[in-house]
Amino acid sequence: MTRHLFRRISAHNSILIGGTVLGAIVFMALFAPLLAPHDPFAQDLSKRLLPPFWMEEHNPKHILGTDNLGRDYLSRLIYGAQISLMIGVCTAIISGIIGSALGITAGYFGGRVDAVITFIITTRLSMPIVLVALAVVALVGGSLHAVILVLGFLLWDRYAVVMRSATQQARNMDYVSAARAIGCPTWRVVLSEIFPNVVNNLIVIATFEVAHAILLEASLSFLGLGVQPPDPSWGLMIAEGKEFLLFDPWVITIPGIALSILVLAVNMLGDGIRDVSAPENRN
Amino acid sequence: MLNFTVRRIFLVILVAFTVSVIAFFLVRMSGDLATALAGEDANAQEIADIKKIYGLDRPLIIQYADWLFDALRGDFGASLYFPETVGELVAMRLPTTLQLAFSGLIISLLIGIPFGVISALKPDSWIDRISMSIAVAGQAIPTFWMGLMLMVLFGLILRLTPISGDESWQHFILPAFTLGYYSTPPIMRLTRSGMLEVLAGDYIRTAYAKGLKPLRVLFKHALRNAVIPVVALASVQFGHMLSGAIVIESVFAMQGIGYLAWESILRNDIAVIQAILLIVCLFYVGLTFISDLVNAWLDPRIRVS
Repeated sequence: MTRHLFRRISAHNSILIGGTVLGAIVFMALFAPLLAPHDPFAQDLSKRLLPPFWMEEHNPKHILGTDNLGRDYLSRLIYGAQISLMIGVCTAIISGIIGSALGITAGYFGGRVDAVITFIITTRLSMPIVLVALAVVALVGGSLHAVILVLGFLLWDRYAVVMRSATQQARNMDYVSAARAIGCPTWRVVLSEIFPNVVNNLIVIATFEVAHAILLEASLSFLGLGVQPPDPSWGLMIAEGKEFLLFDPWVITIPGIALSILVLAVNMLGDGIRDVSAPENRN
Repeated sequence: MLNFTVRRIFLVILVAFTVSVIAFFLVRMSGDLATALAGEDANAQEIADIKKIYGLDRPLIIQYADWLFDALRGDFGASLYFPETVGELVAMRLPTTLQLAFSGLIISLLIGIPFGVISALKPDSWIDRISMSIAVAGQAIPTFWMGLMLMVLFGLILRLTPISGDESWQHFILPAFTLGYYSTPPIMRLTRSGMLEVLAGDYIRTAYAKGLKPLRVLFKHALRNAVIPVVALASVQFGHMLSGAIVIESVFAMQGIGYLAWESILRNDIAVIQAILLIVCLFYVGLTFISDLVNAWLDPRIRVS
């Protein structure tokens, strides 16, 4: 009992910490124009690679220093949050719609429909995400929208798998049979009887897919096939700092820490929500 | 079991076929092969000639069938940039990637299983907390960034390891660790939950009651059962590592197929991209098949459903 209580508290803690950090980053992204001390695109070649505040010879006007084109690092970091969050949320919505539609359809109708959709899921799972995403982004040209669409059309598998099995369980409930017995049309049974009972899974998967998408965008941008310069994607900032890693390792340290903190916060929130809403799935 | 295996093999072939169709058309849509072959400043007549010579004026379906049958015989065509054929090129680069992925897998098993077992034995202890933190951090840190940071720390500051390349086994230490660390959390979690489940079983209590030594119960009775699903997961993780190798090989400049894929995508070397995409997908299909078989052998309920 005490252990259970402990877990419960720690789940709430993880929501609290994850939520607060994520909230702060969302706030930062929303009010970027007000918070950023400088224009994130303004170059000043006389101030290239100024070190951040904890190093000697730093410039108090640039708390986190400047990049190799003399752009203020803090401002770029703040604007970069917009890109990561946008990619994460939009991707999770697109893939959520695709995955839930497929999963609920497969779970509800079963039989041949289920076999076809299971086949689609299996095929999708046999395709390496990074490789396919790189190839497709190269095809359509790297941009924020391209990355969102490509990832949205690739990351739906987990939604589909979970929603399928959740729907299979919900389908056999008495209230679903009752709704069918009184002659409810199928779309209505699905929308008002099935969907509300499987939707809690959706929130948990969505948070994890947000984190997944943010990490993938960073990887794609790092490889030069994601968000394009001069946009301040954190992954791209790491790629741009790569050649200065020998003498100025902080150029890659800062955006990397920002990325890790963001993903960590999203994951903690997801873990917490899962533990509170469905304690039996904890392990 | 035989029935299940046969049905699975049928499914595997169907998936492999679908994947080959996607690999072909996805990459084909990405660029005009004739223009790429002819070069940037070719005129319309030259492009038309090239189309004729390479059979690119035929319907796509026929080109696909051609490509597939050639690919099945190991002939993936010619690269635009390398003197070797694509088949030779991939054969040359594949061992590096397999070596990297395999070392990564070993590392993730070596970290994941012991930590998973200990944290199952002592839930909520400090070691459970540590392994939980490893898991949480492992899922939050971008692999390419972690690779760069390890490179800075061990390669530049401490000078313990080489920075990049793939000439000796020392070159594999950092990339394999980076790759392995990313796969550690799922393996650790599955080991932990599997052990928790197994340890609660009656036969474990019986084994203890018989007076068997605790370590013997742990290894011979509990771990053996808990580890089988981990083996199944490991085979899927191995596939992810082949794909994750693209990022890691690019960071550490290792001449594997991941790096080759990245270079080829950047310069639109279509035949190479198609070949690598197909090969990695087939690895995925094969590894998933193995994992399914292990799981089905373990859990008879899967076989009948």
